[in-house]
Amino acid sequence: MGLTNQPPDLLPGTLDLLILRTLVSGELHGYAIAERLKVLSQDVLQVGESSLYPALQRLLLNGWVKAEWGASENNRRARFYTLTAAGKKRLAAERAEFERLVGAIQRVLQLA
Amino acid sequence: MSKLFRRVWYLLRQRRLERDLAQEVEFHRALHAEELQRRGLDMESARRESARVMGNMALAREDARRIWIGHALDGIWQDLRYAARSLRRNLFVAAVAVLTLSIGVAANAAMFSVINAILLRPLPYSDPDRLVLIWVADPARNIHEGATSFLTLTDWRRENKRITDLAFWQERAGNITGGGEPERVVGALASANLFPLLGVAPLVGRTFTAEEERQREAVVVLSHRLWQRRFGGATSALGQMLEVDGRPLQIIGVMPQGFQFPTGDVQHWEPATLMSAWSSKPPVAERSWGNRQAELWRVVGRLAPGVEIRDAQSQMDAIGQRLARSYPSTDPDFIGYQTELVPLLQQVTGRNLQIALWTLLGSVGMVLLIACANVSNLLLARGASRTRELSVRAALGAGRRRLVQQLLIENSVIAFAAGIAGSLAAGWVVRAIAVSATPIPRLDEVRTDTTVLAFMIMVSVLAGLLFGVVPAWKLSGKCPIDGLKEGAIDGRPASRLRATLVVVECALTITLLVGAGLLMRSLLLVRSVNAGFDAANVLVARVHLPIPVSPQWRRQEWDTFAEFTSRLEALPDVRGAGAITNLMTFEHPEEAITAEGRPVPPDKRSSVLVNTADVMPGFFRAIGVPLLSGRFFTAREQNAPIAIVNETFARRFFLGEDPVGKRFKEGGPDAKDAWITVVGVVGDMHRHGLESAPIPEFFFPSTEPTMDLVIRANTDPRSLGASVRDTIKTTYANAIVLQMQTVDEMFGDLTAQRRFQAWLMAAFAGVALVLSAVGIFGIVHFAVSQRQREFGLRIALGATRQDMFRLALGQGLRLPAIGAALGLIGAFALTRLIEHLLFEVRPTDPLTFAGVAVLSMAVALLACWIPARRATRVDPLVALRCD
Repeated sequence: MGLTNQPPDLLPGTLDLLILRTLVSGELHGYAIAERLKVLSQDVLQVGESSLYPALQRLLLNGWVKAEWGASENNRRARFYTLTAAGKKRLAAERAEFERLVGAIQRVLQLA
Repeated sequence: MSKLFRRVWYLLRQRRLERDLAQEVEFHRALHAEELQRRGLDMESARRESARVMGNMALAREDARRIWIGHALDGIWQDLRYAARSLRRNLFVAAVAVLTLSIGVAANAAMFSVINAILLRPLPYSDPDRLVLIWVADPARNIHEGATSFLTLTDWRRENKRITDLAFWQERAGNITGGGEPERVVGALASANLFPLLGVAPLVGRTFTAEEERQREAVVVLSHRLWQRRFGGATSALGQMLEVDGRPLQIIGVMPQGFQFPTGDVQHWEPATLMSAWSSKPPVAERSWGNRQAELWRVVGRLAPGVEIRDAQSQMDAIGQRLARSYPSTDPDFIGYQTELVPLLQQVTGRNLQIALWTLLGSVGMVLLIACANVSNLLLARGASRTRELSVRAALGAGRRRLVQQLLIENSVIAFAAGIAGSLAAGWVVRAIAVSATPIPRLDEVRTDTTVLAFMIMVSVLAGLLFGVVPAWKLSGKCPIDGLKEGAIDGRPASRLRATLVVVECALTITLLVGAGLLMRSLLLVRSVNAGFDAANVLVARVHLPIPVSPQWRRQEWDTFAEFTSRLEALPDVRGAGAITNLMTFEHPEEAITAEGRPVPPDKRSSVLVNTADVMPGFFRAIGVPLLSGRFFTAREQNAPIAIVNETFARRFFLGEDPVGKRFKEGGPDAKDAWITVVGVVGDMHRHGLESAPIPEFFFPSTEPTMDLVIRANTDPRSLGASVRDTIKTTYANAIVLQMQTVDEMFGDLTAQRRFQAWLMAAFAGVALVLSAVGIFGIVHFAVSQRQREFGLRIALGATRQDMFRLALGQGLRLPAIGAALGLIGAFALTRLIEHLLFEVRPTDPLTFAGVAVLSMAVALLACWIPARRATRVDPLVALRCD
């Protein structure tokens, strides 16, 4: 049930993809991931905390990311997430799948 | 896979994960608040605003938890905690269920441990399933397990392509002297390929080679036991000499512990070619190598890969037929060329023991079924009072699957507890069985290995499913509305099921009781067989006289045994003493005889083989065998050409005429042996065990180096042991007392297997009887308590208390009666399986069937009586007011 907390404009499963993508450039904590998503999407995507953290747990469980406690910019204790090798592979696969899907939708929209 | 592993890991570290998540979320909230402050909110509003946004974090935490552990696992965890609480509340029911089940599990685990030790554990040879013994046999003359000649087994070896190799051996008892107490042990003369064929390497040193066998090297390989006993397990024993009957043999190797071939009695192995060294007449032994009639060797073979035993058997049959055509024999002593291949394991354990063990395992399986039925019943009964609880849960939205899962988990907690309790009890039961039934082969090696453990787990799981699934399904299937109605009592659908369970229980119990009854009757009948002499108060001392060979040694032997008996008779409390080659014998009869002036049987097939033994004059008087005609031997008749025959011998060969004064000779009509005159006829003795008919026997006035001294006492003969030993030692200092046993003990050993079967079966049937009595009691009790109002109403309307009692009793007895009828039919069909285990009782013995029917109905009556009494004590006022 909780998984429906995603913003309605987000396709199911894309949150995982987006999180993985934000981690490509290096480790981030949860808040930074949310911020990064917001900034990169020019405020279109506002990921709620209540869907971000379950999603992160799901990624951890699947072994696509790993988490370590460390110090944040202003020396607070924060949990940093890094992409694992399996996560990179997953990202590539999901990204290809997503592009295929979006391409298909666009084709339908243009031709129909 | 790694995902599941991580889930379980998360389950175990749940608290830590939740703490991490909380800290993380708090960090997020703090950053968010800072952000808001930067945008101009004051600190307090920022904190409140950020907390509001984070408000649905509880839900997020729930989501995270589900992700960590998964729906199913989380539900199971909840149910486990719930089950523990629920069982604690109903501690009595839980305890009864666990106790009942653990009895079933313990019986099964114990029986399986025994089967595992005896039948399933492989023999300690390489690829033991391919090892077969090749016996010479003549079923028409009831000859089995015969030995063969060297020439014949050489033909087998050359011609049978389905057997990769075969080795041969014979056993010999010898005296070990020099260094330590002299003792008599059994050794084997074996072919050099025996050890490689079995695939067992020596623990230290080596085994002998084919070259050493050919060269007749005097070498010997020791058993682990003999090595420990005489050499203290020192490696320096290698190269030393073992003196067997005065022949020095060089020790070249020691076999590992647990190696026994063919039996645990055999303590050393030496090359087969040393046979001539054993013989008092070496030239005769020498000639026997080239003589097809010299059936001296036992043969073990290894089946070629992929060959079934019956393929090998058919090839052996063909070879046998060819040999019979090429080398015909008219000698009636000669067994022939027909063979019987027996798997080594079957030889070691015996076919009857195999049947008995599988029967017993089947029986404990039935006991477990009964236990499961009882527990099912108990849970259904308890379920009736839980309807409300389950209905509430269903009304609140629990699906049927979820309810079944919860009930099943409760049941698995019970099954798990019962599995542990049962397995612990099983270890104890197994020890008790092993101690009380020692002469059963391989039982001393019983232990809990992984096979047994796997079986125990399987049985517990199976039991949990068996007793749990039906009640869980039944109880969860109710419409929640019915259950929530005030005072609703609904036992109907479950009560049909409960009645069926009781009927099944009774039927299984009856089947077990019939089986136990038949085995018990067989045991009693065997024990009541008249051995032909009075077995009470007789001591048997097996004594070996190592008299050096000299012209007078036979005379000296006879005189020494005569001296023993007269000195023993002089002891206080000794009534008589005598000597015989062996009081009990398990050798198959091997002698043929020809009676003078009697028509020779047309073919050797119909000739009967007889048994013979040497006796001292006082023997028959001491053992108490009646003289039917003629006279006993006298002290001066050593090796005289006379014999005493038994009743069966007289009937068989002299057709009932008094044989005294008539003559017979050993061997066929053409044999050159001297005629022997019959001087007396004695009653039959069951020297082959109580279960086989007496064999024709004749007794010869002579001695052998090893004899059984038979001492009849006025009191308990065991108290004489020390003085008998003293008397023997003072008469002949070098005499070796090999064994001392009472005849009662010997017979006890003979019936050990029967006792084991009968008492175990009786114990299992007894447990089944008690369990099903409890089952009957439970259902009647439940029915009476559910019908309290009805009974109260009936009494209020004028029915007498006697009527109520009869009503309750009649209803209660209906189920066991149906069960008994079904059980008797089942037993009728099943007891044929144990026909081989029975002695002089038919599998459909009417007395046993009737006795079991009476016993079970009596127990059922008792089990119904007590709860039915309650029906008479119903107070109509109380019953009608009850809600």
